[in-house]
Amino acid sequence: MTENQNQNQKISQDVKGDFITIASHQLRTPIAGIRWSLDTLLNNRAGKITDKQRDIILGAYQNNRFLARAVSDLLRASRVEDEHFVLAPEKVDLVKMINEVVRHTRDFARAYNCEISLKIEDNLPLVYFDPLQLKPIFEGLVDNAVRYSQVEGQAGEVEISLKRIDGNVVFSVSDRGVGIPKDEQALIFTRFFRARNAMKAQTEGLGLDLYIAKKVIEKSGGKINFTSLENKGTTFFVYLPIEPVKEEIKPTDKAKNVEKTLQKEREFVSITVHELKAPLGMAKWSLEMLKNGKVGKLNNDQTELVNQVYRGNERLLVLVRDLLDLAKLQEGKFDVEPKPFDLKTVVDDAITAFRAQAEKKKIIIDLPSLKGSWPGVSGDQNRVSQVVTNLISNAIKYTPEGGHVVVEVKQMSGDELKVIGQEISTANINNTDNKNGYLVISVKDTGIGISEEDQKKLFTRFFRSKNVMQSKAEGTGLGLYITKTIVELHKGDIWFTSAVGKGSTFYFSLPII
Amino acid sequence: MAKKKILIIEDDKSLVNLIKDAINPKKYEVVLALEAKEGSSKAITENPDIILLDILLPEEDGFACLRYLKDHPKTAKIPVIILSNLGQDEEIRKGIELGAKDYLVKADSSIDDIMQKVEKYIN
Repeated sequence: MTENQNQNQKISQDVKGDFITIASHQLRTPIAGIRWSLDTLLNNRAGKITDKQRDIILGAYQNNRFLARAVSDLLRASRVEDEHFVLAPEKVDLVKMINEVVRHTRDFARAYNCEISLKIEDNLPLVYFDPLQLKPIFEGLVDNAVRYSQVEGQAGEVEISLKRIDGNVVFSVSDRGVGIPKDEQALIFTRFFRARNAMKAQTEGLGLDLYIAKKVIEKSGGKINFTSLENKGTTFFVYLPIEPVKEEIKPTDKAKNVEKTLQKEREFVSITVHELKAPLGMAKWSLEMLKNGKVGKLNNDQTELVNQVYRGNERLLVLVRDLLDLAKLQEGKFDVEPKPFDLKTVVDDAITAFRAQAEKKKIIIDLPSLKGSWPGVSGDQNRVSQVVTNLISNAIKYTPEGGHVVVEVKQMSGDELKVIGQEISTANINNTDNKNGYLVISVKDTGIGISEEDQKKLFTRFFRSKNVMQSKAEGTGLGLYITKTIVELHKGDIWFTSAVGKGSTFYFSLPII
Repeated sequence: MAKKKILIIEDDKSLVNLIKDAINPKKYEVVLALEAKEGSSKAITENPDIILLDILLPEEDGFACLRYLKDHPKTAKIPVIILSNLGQDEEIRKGIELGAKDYLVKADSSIDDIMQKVEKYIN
């Protein structure tokens, strides 16, 4: 592989890897909190709700389930595609597992007016498979069958069977629903595939579950296939080995079309983010209807719960927006053509914007600046403004009342920066080649400082300090990571010095044009 | 019939209050702990009939707590159910190896699911 291809492959792994790690890590807790708040409302535990209110809450509930499934599928897809993906197979009692899956799905099935029937052969042997990977596969297949089982006017039927055929136990699940159109059948195991006939795009999930299922099943020595006829129904078959199977090591053709892979990963990220936005937007709308009393009154407990859900939803929306931002930045994409701009104006404006907030905490912000005009820099003015804003915002956030925040600028040569990089162990300074030197902005605070342990993690994907001053709007924890990405996009570096109880100073450099 | 006692060790206060409010106070008494050390000591002093343990706790992680509970003679026999987040397969495996009876993925479980597991394993 050429160096360029190597580079591209690394970028593509970073883009997707980062995205998935951050997305799933950050999204999970608000999703659980939202679900349980909605649970409590739906079960009348906070007080009675009207039918109209119930409908709206159920809508929000469906959106939430979609999100949970989407995040879970993202994680599984990323895991499955990782070079180092390992399975941990063991003897599994399929009968027990399928019974659990059916029990878990029955309520959901009833809501779809669907009955599930089970036909299990006697004396089935155990199968050899990774149980933590297998259960979600069954859940996904049964879920889909229930969704597809709807036929106008009739109750739906889903039939599940388990039987032994030679060296496998075969699981099958049938529905008598719409079936999969013939021209789409070749595509159903590809990423993000969703059939035209899907009841509602949203209830389908991201379209990753069959892709994941096939990869996991084949890697485990099994097989998955299906038969389907339009308007007659679909049956999926999963063949699971009874004995351990030696894994077939397929040679990976890495050199092949790395550019195409990079393109696919970018699509992965942007499709996912757009898919996640839709249910969040709809949930927001539903919650607003509940809050403004248009569908009935709420008592105090109910109001508090709805507010909790609303806040969780807002957090998710901010996060998804940040994720899209990050993905774009990591691709090395500028939103606008980079061009020369006045950094002094950017810094002045940022300080002005924070003056009121600083005054509330009796914090003094200073800018003893370079006299006269500053040397020019080039780039995206709005993005650099985002960096300055983030650093000043953090400085104020982590500084107690009566403290001091000082913003300074210095001109430095590449060699001087090299020395700094050598002196400060946490500083990773790579951009030192610019012949015209660099402008270095520093934001110094007299705040709580950063512990040594936190210092190591500071620019990582989901760092959020435990010691943040009580602040309702905590942010997603992506701020510094996005900041770092922007600075590096501009061919600069970002670093810091800090001591607990004394304060921190953050620096970033920009090449002078 | 005497009330059974549930100990929940979970650092997210808003989450844990949602579970607590959903539990039938006539059947169960709920004890809360927001971090591992508090959880371990309450397990000893309160002698719960079941423990729900969040696997990602601040300061000392959930595994250290689980190991402690299983080593201590007073708490070793109390069934532990792990509360995990999505996609924590390795953590779940590790927890079961360390002696947890079962696990629940928070975002994937309704409050009813949680109560069903509690009723299944409670002493």
